[in-house]
Amino acid sequence: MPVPFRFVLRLMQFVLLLMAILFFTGRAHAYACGDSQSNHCYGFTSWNQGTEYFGSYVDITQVEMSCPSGCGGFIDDEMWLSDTSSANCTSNQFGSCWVEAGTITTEGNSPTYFWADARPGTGNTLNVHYLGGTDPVGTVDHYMIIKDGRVTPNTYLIFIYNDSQSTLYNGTSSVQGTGGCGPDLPQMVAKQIIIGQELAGSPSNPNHDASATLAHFTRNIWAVQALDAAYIFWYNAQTVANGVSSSNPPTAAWAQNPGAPGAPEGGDFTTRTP
Amino acid sequence: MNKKMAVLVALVAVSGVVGCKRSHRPENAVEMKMPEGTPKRPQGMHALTAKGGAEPFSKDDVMQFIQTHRLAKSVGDISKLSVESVEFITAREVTVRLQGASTGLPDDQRVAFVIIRGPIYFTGPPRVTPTPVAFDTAYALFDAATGNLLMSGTLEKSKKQPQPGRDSSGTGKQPN
Repeated sequence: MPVPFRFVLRLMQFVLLLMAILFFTGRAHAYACGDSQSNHCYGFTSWNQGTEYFGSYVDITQVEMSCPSGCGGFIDDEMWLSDTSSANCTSNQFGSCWVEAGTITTEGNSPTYFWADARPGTGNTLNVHYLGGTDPVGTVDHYMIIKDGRVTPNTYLIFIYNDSQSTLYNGTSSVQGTGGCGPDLPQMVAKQIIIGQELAGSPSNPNHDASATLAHFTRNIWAVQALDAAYIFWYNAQTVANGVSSSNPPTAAWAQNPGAPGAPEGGDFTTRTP
Repeated sequence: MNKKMAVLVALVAVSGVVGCKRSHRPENAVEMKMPEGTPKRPQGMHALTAKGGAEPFSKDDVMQFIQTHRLAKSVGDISKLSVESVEFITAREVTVRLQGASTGLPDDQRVAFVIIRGPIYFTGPPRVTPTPVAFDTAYALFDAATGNLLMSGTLEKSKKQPQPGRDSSGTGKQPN
């Protein structure tokens, strides 16, 4: 009994549709985030001002974050405090200084708290510190960077902690020593705060893609002065929802703008991959 | 008279001490307490298997790790990286070699300071560096007792740098 032509046509249409769905589903997860010529991918927002940010602080939720074997990179949620204009920063190995803190997942590892700095001066610049495993998914952790005005030259103190302080890590970002030869370098003067997600790697197989569920960045605040003897973080909250940049992935967005009715202090910014 | 003067001087001195500890409240600023607990020592992240003894892991062990695990904030082909040296030293000595960079570790903690020969490329915050920055050498710091990776970073910058090209740092509305 011959197969009706209309049936064959329908079958072919179905197969083509199925192939298209499978193709584009696979493609949707593919990403190329960094090689020797191009930077990583980011989903972020930032704030700039003419006067100094003496520190920055954000609450970030711990999320399911994965970079399986074969992901070829890492994924993180974090905050940067940066200086792109001081002479001792524009002359360092990166042309800028920064201090950053967040949660990172590198290939085949579990999420880990980290902080890093790129210091003023021309010698050793970038140092990444891996602190330890993160709190359970859903925990809201606090990430603080603050200039310490109690010491000369100033340092930056970095704190990562939870409400009960059962998790509490700290670090100190210092300027490069001159070995007693010449005056100490001045510390950076930060005029930019960035929050968001960084994604690195170009996995050849979508099964190896890094991923991170929706993270919330709330309580976006900044220090209005350096730490003094009273040891208080004096702050203002961010009041503007600045523009968002997304490499897709990572995808970033404002869930609630700073100052919107019912919004958390400093708004609610989100990131995710895919 | 002398008693009154002494009391007056004492009061001024006491008020000065109290005043020094009281922070000037900046205009329109809000107060937040600093964390006050005892911080944990950095544990690092799982990396090598420490076998104990004078050399808990070998140069080959480290080579195998760095050619298969990308250091945070780095990009590029890691299969061609090589290990120039592995030295078991104290955290205090690491701080000297890194020009005063704090490790967060007790001064006498034993660590492995590894120099990696590249080129190895590192990136900064979004849109801060137009392309990755190339380094001839970088370093990795491992806990000699656990084999965990504690730190990594840059040493000598390469004279030959990548040319600005494709930028994958984001699309959409430009942040201010």
